[in-house]
Amino acid sequence: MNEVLVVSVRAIMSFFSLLIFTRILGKQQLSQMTFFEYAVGITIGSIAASMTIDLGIRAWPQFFGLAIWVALAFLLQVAVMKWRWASKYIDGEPTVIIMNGKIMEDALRKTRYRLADLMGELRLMGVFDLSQVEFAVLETRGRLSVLLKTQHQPLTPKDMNIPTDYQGLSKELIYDGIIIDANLRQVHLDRKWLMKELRKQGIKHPSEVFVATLDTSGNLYIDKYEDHIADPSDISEPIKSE
Amino acid sequence: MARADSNKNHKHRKHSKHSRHHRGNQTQRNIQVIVGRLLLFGVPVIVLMSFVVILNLPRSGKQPRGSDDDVLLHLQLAHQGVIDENWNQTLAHIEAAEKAWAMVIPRIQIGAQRGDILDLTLGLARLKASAQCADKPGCLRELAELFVYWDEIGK
Repeated sequence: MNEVLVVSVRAIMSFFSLLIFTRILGKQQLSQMTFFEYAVGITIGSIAASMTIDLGIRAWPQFFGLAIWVALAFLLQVAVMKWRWASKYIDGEPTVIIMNGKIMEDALRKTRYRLADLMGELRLMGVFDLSQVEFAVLETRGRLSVLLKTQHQPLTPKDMNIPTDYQGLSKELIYDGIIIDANLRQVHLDRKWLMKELRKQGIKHPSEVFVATLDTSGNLYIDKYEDHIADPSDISEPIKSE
Repeated sequence: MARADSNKNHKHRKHSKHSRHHRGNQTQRNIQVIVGRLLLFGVPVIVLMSFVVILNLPRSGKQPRGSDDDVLLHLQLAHQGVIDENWNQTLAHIEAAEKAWAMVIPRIQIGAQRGDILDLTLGLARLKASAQCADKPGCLRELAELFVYWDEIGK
């Protein structure tokens, strides 16, 4: 029995199985997961790892076990999406931690959330003074949502009655020196127009461009490979000799 | 009048040419969407199905493809040899079973349990030693175990 060969083949199989299965389970980020989903993710990864290196167990039952865990996680996701009661039971409900500027001690105790955690989360959101907070809600995924008191909320153009232009997503027209024709077509433009715009900025060929984007106001942003910056700033700390 | 008709025909031809071109583009786009969907869903399904087949190879891999790799046949013949106390015949069949087993291992190793492969290899070695000593009870005990191991592989 060639163990290295067996481990290599099993590693390839578990790697791609995990890739396919996690794509089925969606694009949830680690920060968006509940503790249970996090534990399920770890278990799935652990089964895949075991399938690779544990030659003492047949690979088929491990693969099957992996598929069952993924299927259950998928079913749970569907149930949570479809039925509100399932979502309430599985994910729990948001908890109000600060109400009308007052800390709800009982809620803190129930959720086992410490004051230090609350202060830390507030600081991460740029709130250093508790008196500025009107409402704080601990979401089901463990993150804190904060509503500041009206006098501490940032001023917006709407408050000042200032008209603003629509701003949508910009489109990449060139990436890594290659023109993306599909995106050009989406904005009803062609290569001829793009080349004209590039020539205006002294660029002879798209291969000189790292990235070019077009925003919804029609402004073309171009970043060339050659930046012509003589002394790029270095933010790393220099090592001092004592 | 004739000039008006000719203009109308020219416009109609231009329009139908344009709509043909438009239909062509639409069909091309539809084909691209279908191919894209097939690649998106078809490739993962094919990959997973091929993994299922590879991992279940021990079931089919242990089946003989000729007389040289028929482990079970040689074990049965060795069993007959032990009962007849024909030790030369028994040893010849055990060696043939060992060779057959060496041919089967590469076919089943990806999905099979390492312990099962090792058990059968060690069982054959013990059977050979018992046959060399003309130990009939020992041979029968080892053979009984080997039949179980063989049956369990790939289950």
